[in-house]
Amino acid sequence: MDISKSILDRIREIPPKSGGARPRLNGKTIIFVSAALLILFPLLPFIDNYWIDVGFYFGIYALLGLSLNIVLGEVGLFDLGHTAFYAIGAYVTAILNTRFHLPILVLLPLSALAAGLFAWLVTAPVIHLKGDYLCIVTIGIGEIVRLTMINNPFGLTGGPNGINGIDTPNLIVPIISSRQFYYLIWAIIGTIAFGLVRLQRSRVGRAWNYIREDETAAEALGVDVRHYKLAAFVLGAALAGIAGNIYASKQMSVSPESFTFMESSLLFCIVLLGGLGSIPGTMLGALAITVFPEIFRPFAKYRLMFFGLALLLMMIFRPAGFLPRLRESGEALRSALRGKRRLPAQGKTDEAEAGSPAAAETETRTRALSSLADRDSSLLEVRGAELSFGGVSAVACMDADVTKGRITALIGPNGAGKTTLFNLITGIYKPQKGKISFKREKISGDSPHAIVRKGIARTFQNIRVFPSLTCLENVLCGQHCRGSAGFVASIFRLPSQRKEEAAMLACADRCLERVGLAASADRLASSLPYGKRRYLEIARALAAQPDLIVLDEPSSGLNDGETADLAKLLLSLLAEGLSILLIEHDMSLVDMVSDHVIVMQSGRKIAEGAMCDIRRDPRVIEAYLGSEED
Amino acid sequence: MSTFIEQLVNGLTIGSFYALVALGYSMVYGVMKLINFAHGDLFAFGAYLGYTILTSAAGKVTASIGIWGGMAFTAGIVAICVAIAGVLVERIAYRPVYPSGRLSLVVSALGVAIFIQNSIMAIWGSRPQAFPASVVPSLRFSLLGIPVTALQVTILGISFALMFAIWVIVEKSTFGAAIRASALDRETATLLGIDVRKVIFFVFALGPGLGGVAGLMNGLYYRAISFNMGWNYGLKAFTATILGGIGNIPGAMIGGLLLGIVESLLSGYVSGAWKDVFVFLLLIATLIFRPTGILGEKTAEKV
Repeated sequence: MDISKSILDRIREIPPKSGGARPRLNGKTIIFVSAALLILFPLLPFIDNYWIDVGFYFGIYALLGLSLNIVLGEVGLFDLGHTAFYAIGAYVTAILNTRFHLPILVLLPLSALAAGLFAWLVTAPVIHLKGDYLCIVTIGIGEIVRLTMINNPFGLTGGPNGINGIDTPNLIVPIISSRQFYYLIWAIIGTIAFGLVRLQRSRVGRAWNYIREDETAAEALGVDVRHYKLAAFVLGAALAGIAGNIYASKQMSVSPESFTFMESSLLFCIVLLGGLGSIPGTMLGALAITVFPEIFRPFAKYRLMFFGLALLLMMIFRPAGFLPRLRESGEALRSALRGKRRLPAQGKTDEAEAGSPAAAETETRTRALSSLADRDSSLLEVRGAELSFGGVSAVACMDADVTKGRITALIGPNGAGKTTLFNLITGIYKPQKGKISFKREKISGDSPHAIVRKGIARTFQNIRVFPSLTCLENVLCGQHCRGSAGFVASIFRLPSQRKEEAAMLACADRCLERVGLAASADRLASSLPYGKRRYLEIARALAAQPDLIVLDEPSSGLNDGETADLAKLLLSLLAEGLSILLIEHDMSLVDMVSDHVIVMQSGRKIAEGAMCDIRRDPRVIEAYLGSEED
Repeated sequence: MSTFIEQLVNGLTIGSFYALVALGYSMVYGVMKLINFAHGDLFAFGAYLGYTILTSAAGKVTASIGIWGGMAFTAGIVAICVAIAGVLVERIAYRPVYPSGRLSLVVSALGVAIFIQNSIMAIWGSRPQAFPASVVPSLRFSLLGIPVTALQVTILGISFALMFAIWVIVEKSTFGAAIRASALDRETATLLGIDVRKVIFFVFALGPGLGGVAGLMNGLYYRAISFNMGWNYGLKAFTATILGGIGNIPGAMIGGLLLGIVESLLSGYVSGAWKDVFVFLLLIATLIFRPTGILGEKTAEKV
């Protein structure tokens, strides 16, 4: 058993092929060559206006694909009505241009704004819906927008025929020819893609990915899930609005036919064909979607049939898409921060100052000292907490205290309500009665991400790491709530954002090292063996720099040796000034580490005290230990 | 008052189409957790197949066994053929993609839907087709003072009989228990010895079979069919599924009937053009205020 396990572990130690750490040898060359191709394409002698237009529509689909990629690829929200936002952009441009003769380029930001605002209005009430439910709502929104345009409310949308006579943009010279439109759209895409790549490698982009990987874990580790989901929809819609604006001015007309469900499904396919969350992949997906019908033009009658078949085959044989996104290594993230103008070494000392090991050590020591000073003062108080699910009481009149600088263990038979109590403390459930306070401040009723910020971080009973992100990125999730860089700071890489990012990386490195995973920083979490994932979760929680860490059965699935190591880790964390609350079934671990034990049964506390007293308590023996020791 | 009753009967008829299609969505969603986007197009395929059988060789089927016999014969063939198509869709498009996750399944489902819809167009042409009057019974009579057509009564009768049969199978039989168990938790059901593949085969045969018959009846009722009708009916039927609570069999029937009536009353009394907008608003409102539908139960996610 042990031998086979160690062999398995060794096999897993081999760096995986797509482990994110792949050196980007020719990434820059590829980008340079494709950019050159895109620029030269319309100038080639054998390319006529028809093909330049195909290149333009490729651009429109690339832009729409990028905009949907934010919602679907980065955040994993099923959006099958994205065309609605594209339509809003196009119609806002068409209506304002034909009625008030506002210039197209002035309408460009206005269209983006209108589409973004519309997205916020319609998705805010439904953003909490999961998976397929959200998908259905977006289909509904798409249809409502299309039908509204057909129905011509107040004579605004021109009914089924749409609106004609839209101006062309005027950028110093009027933009009329196919070639000019081609360069316009690709210049815009270039700018947007640049911003999106920077977002991907920032606190914002990572927050989106955490939500896609595991929404509950993201929220429980300090990501304001609702905010970031809405932000993704608004940004995605705004970019689709820009595409609508350019499309309307190129066509000089808009009509509801361009905004059908079929169009939304095409966009969905672009993102999936390219590879979820991959910017070059999305572009390639758009290319496939635009060029496919051109190649099959001679078989007009059958081309959509073939297209359906192609989608199917692609999903069977290459479900991850053409170019699945590779994760950046820690080194890549760091070097991106240094920038080009500064020497690497100089940049490092400069920016990592806040997060340098020396600073961290001082911080730990201060915390340890201050914690020793008021050790045993109350940190967390649960008073009369109650929660029932459809008449079944999971936690009833529960009182519990966690004191500072101690390890408190929560034990009890299966179904005693321990995890439910954890979920009440960390804000995943709200107590129906009673009050929970932390550092004398009421926290019951707060959302989980707010509670993390106040200083409680947790792990999960059934491990919830973010599988397709690297270990470093997993741990950076804990640091999310300690940062503040938003969209603007991340896109422009403001000095404050660089400094913050460097500090976050330094902290994440420390936390990985703390649990002995420093060597695996660039590996994908999914490639870690089970036991190490538990440690990764602990590192992620530590990265939130909590005062109290809440561990849900940390030893489950670990063998005796590993459990002993875990006990050592917990005790050393305690020495550093952290307070710990854990649920445990492994009595040897509870015995080794805990200062105080609370016993639960059927949602109630039946005993508490030191482990030696608990062992002798007749109620506990009857409820729990008795049956085990017999 | 009489227009109200007429609208009601009309709504009930349309609602029974929705209900039959919704049953297929609901059963497939229950077991596969997949919105079978191809389902609406299988419905359209049923309508076209029925059209071909009834009009082939100058209506020979109807001529030899009469209008009613012809309809029954056609319905049988349609049910079998569309059921086979449904099973094929599962085998070719869903089973190989299932391990790759939900998103790939959605794309695969969209791919099949596009494929079926455009195959119909390639075979039967892009212009709408009409069922000749000679194959549709034109008998009208008054039932308790309400004017109805024999076709309406037949459609309602068949629909309710089919729904009742499904209800008995799913809720009362042992195999129905296996279906419900697979819907609740596929892995546990497998561990408990339920052959989930058999369940999947069954729902992919039965669902599209019912949908195909609904497509045929819809064609006979309106007498006109078009290659892209599947999308609209599919979406409506899916709305019905949500109304009744997704994965919930009686819910799908009630949702379908309710949606038909609501739609018919909306177009009769409010506005035909805005009818669908109201329907989708109703869909969104349901998902906001009662995401588990009229008959759905509340479930908590395990953390």
